[in-house]
Amino acid sequence: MSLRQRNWRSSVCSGMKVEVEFFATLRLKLPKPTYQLDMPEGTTIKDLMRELDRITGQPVSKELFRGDEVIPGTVILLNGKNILHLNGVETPLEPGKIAVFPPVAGG
Amino acid sequence: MSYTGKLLRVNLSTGEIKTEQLDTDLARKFLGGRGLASKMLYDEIDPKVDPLSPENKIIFATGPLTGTNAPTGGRYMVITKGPLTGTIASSNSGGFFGAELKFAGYDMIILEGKADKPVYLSIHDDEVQLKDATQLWGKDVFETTDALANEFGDGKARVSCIGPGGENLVKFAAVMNDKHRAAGRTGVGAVMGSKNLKAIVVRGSGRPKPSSPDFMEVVRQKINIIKQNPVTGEGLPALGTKVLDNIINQSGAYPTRNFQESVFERTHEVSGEALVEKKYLKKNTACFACPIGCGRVITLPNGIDSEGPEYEAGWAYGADCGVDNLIAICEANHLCNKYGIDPISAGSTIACAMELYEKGYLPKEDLNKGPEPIFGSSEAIVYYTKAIALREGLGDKLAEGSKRFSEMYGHPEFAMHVKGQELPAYDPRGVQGHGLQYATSNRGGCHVRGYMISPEVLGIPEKLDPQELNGKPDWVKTFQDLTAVIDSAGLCLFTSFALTADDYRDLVNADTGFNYTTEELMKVGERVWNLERLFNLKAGFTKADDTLPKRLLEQPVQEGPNKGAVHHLDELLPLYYKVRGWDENGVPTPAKLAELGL
Repeated sequence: MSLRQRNWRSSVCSGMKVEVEFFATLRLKLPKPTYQLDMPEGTTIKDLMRELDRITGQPVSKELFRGDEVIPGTVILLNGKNILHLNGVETPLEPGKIAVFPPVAGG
Repeated sequence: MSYTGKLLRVNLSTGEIKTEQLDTDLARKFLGGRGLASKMLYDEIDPKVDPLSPENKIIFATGPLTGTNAPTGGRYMVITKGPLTGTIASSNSGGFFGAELKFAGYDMIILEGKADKPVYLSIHDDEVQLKDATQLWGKDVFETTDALANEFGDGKARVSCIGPGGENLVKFAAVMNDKHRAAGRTGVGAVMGSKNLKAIVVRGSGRPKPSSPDFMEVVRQKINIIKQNPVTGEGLPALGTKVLDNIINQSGAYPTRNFQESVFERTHEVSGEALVEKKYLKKNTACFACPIGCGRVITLPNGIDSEGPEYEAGWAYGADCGVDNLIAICEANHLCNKYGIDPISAGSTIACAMELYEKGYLPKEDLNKGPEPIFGSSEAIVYYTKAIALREGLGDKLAEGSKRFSEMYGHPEFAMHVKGQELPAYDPRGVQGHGLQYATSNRGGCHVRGYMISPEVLGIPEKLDPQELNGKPDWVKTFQDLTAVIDSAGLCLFTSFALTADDYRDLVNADTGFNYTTEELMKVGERVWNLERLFNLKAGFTKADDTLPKRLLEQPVQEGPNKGAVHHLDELLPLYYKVRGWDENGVPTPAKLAELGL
């Protein structure tokens, strides 16, 4: 999808503005690190990632979820809160920032 | 089994060198590496000894799996009484030196006394000699390593040494091997320096012999698990430990400007991803027998070729000093490797100086013409790192570490330390279990004695709420005990992102033939932990030392996801003592000691 089409899509949806930022290996794989989206009310994290699969043309959600489970080590923060402490992949979006980390660790 | 059965004892005062038999009963109780060497140190020195006196000893110890094909089986440990903290100090390193020591036929080297002039220890299988190091004294880590690598003519000797940091008794000097690998924390390099021991160079022709014919099959299984795991198979090789900058920052636990804040607004400029995007990263590198390869090989635009920085070092010079110049951060880390000092303590001590200076407690005349230590100054982090290692100007005071430095200026509250050792890169107010682990770590402020970030932030092996208190003391105990097992076995802690206690049991059993159950193996870890605790109690530490800087207990986080949070050590510590089987003063009960056979 071209940038122009993406903008068109964003402009016709009336809902929540979210900024999704990818980190770690996903950041290096995707066309760009940050995506601004306008999503309908009631959209869940799972819906959002499926939408990003479509927008990026990459299997983003496959890197993060196994079925409806978050792959261990994956961190998705909704305004700083890990979705595992909210409602997992079914967590409804709220306006703001979503930080996405595929399984990472260090020390 | 992969023990060589031989220990090397070197008296630096008399020059006497002898070999001793490994006590296999003791090895079964303490496994090796950190565990067995801690037991020997405990039995052989007075815990009240001055760490930099000839009466202290320093032990280089391999584990049973060191030098085998077990994944990451290249680790060794340096155990001594530490000058930074006064606690038992054990510092772990990778690279190739540990495996080579095993190949030469030794499970450990115990060094005693003090040489009357600079020496290095040369080991070529059974040929062991103390040699004059007068010409090496003053040389940096890279020069020393290059000078000694050709000791036996084939350029394949492995070198563990100190740089000017250790020679100058910097309280947080590191022991460096293979140039860029460090037994980095607790000041073990200063103990080497105090003994006039510049280096150990080793070349060995033997190979360890695991007891089970199935050993290689077990190894293959475990390598497969590590390779298949997305963290150890993909994340760490691609981005190294610095992949954590963004995640810890976004989680609101990224200490900034000497722990005054918990979110660094310029993280995107200094993160592991930035290291790739700015094209400083050239490739990854691996230690002996490591299928992960988290090491970074970099070239900076100013022409410096180096390795690192790891997450902790990058944070200490970056967010903790408020610096967003990735070149300066890499250069400061490079200087730490070159001069042989610990970048966590160095960066954190400079951050402490920055706060003291900005608040007017560190007078300008004390800077001795050095740059102003203000948050964000990339000039200051590079300048004072070198000054610390060489003990020049203000560097002479900074070389004492943040606790002593802040006390010199009458404001100990600005030192972010536990038991004298600077805290690593996670704000305890945002990770309650990890804060408890800091407070109770047997070697002072440390993240690799029980890495609670794994469950509390990363969700490995399961996700815990970082602000939850319930159950955290049990988790901390389990992580501390398991880490003691890994350190004693001769493996890298990073395997624990993929392997479980059962996997370690399989590897250790196939190697040693000890046939531990998982519970027995974990008991070894608990025994090691309690022994270290006993050492510290005898050294004079008390419950009052199991604490965190006041700032973290009393001042709520100002911004970010953890806004308003403080650390709840007062609630967690009594529960931890209980879980440990210790009395209300943190002393192991007679029943616990009997249970552990101590």
